[in-house]
Amino acid sequence: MSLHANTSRTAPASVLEKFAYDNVTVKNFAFATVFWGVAGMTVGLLVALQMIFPELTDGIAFLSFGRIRPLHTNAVIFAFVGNGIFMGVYYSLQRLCKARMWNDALSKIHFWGWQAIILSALVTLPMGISSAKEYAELEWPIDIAITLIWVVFGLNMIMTIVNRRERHIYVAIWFFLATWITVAMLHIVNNLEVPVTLTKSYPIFSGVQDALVQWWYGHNAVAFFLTTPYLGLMYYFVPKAANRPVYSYRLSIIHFWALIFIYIWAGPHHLLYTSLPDWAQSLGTVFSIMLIAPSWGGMLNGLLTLRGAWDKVRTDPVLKFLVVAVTAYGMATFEGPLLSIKSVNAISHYTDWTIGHVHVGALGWNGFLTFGILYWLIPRMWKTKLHSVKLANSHFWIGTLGIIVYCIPLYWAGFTQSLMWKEFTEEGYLAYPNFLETVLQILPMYMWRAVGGAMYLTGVFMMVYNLVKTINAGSFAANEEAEAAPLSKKYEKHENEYWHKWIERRPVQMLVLSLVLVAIGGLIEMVPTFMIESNIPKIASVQPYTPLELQGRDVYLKEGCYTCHSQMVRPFRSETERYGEYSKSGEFIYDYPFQWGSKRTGPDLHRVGGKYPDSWHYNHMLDPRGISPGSIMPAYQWMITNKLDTTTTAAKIRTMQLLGVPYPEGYDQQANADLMKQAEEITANLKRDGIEAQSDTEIIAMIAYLQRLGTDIKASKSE
Amino acid sequence: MYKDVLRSIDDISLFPVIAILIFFVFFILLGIRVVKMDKKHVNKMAGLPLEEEENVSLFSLPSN
Repeated sequence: MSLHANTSRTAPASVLEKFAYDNVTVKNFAFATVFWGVAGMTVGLLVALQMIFPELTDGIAFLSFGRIRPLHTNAVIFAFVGNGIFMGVYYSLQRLCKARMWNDALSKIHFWGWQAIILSALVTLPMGISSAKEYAELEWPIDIAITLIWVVFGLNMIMTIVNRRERHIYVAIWFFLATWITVAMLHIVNNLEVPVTLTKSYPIFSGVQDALVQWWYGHNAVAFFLTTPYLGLMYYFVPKAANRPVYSYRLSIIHFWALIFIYIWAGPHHLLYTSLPDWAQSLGTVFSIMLIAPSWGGMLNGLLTLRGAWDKVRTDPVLKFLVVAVTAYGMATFEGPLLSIKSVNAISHYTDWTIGHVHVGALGWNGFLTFGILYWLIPRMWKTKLHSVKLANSHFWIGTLGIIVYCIPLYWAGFTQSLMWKEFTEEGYLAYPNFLETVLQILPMYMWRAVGGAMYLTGVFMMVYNLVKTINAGSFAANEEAEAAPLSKKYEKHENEYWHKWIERRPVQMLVLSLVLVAIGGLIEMVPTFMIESNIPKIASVQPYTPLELQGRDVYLKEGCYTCHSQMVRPFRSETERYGEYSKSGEFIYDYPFQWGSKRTGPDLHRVGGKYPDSWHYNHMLDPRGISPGSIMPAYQWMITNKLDTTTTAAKIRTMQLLGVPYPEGYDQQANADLMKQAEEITANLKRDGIEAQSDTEIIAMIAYLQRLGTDIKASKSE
Repeated sequence: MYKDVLRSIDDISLFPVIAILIFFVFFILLGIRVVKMDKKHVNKMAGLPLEEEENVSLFSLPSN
């Protein structure tokens, strides 16, 4: 049936081995993909609505924006896309290797282990158990579980490849292997942390170094979790759906090596104009711009695979989804390098432009590729036809319109807000000195974003109905019979054999080479910052946090304040006018983890210390709209009543000492006394303003931390 | 702690130079090899996903 069928089966029929493909694991992962997709997107819609109706979940701590925004991102990335990856890998790998997955028990452990990890995230993140590093919020016990399950997945995958019946390894599998090894490296390095309690840890890096490691991870989570595995799926499922071989296999080889070579360097583009050393910022920019070449090569390769099949795109919903997915990949990977140019980034960073950009990738590329694969896969595994092609086409259109209605308002909001932040009057003052004005301006765009998201989610529900009806009409083939000749032990070299063909047959060597390539990038980027002390100038006046401030900082982390507030004043006049002195790298050396943030839904907080009286913060946390009418910040009533857990203070101090923070020896025993003393002072302050507060509550620690922020430098100036 | 370990590496400044050399040499070699690849092999590799026998009518669209 196919154009290039059957060129490798040279063995006589008598030696053909019979075996069966495991469809059960594929089915499980497919169900999980759909289930968590619906869950993750529903939480996304909830956070979108909270930005328009900040009192939507008023008073419910575990549903507050700062706690469930991480739930949304983690659910969509690791639950929806993660299960989507495994679904696609388990289906395509078996067929490309002409072998059943190596071990059924490992497949089971992988599936249930991954779901257990997602469930633990679903419980811990709303509780505020978070390491407060974007897309890596899960705490250390879950990090360890992720590592173990990832090893199970890798072992199962690699042993399947080792026991394959097809000599050559198709390019999709290279992408899977590179994904596995790189995600393992990223996850481990970014989660190097010292446990304090079962639910709390501090990263071993602080400040600038932590920022560099975090965004090296964060960017490559996009690259190696959301992109390379899905490219592998593209190289398998687009040819399958179009029933044509990939447009250029040669291009796919270059696509692969160029991507894994270059992607790993691009992380610092998330930190332009921050306190990161300049050379590291430039490195990120250069490699990000270079990324256009392989990304667009890959996109064109995917689209051109449909050559001669474009007429089918009109009628086949699978191809429609795949075409828009690959096009969205092209758009996002063109926009990404643009956003990495410093002058563009100066406008886009901290605004909704970034949110629009990532959703072109998430909704368009990941979402639509997943839907296309599901519509292709489910009828096949249940040996039936899709229940309704018409409904799938409707899903395609409502989804596409949903993406447009979601993204365009956010781009608009991004430009608008950034221009307002930077606008000066003729007299040289900020045109919009009140940050809130710039927020109120873009609320209508937030409304449209929620509408777009709701449309997209409606489409997903249509898909669920369609797939359920399809499944009910079919009968599931748990084991799909197949046969193929085993590989002969001795490989006969062809004439003109060359080194790349050598590596095409060797999964383990491929894995090692991929690791070497990505590790070089990571090392060059990070090692000098760790090595050369001059990269992070020490500032004599910067002192460790007091115990109360440290505890307050942990409340800040717990509530996910970084999801809306940055702590990084960039060296622009528009920012120093608004916030104060720009941030210096030496100010962050005791920040475990760093809290520079990536989005300013609210104003930057790095210089908020001393800006307002203690009572302002107290009232603002209790009732943000009472202080700033129209504010979209959620209220934090529970901070007023929640008792601060001081049983951890000593352990926290000891951990900090271990990490190199210069608290005096034996300070852990004295810390709580100092903590109470400082708390009493704040309570007394509040009392003078007519507020009766308890000294042992979270709000007091929070106020202590906020009042400390960015004040070390002010102190040195006055000396 | 980790800083001291890394600081002890000699000639760390050579690392970037080595990296850029690896980068160029690798892609020049890759480019040459990809262009000179045997066409038969390329076609075989490109056809791998389409090899399995399968009943395409499972997902045929309504003909009307």
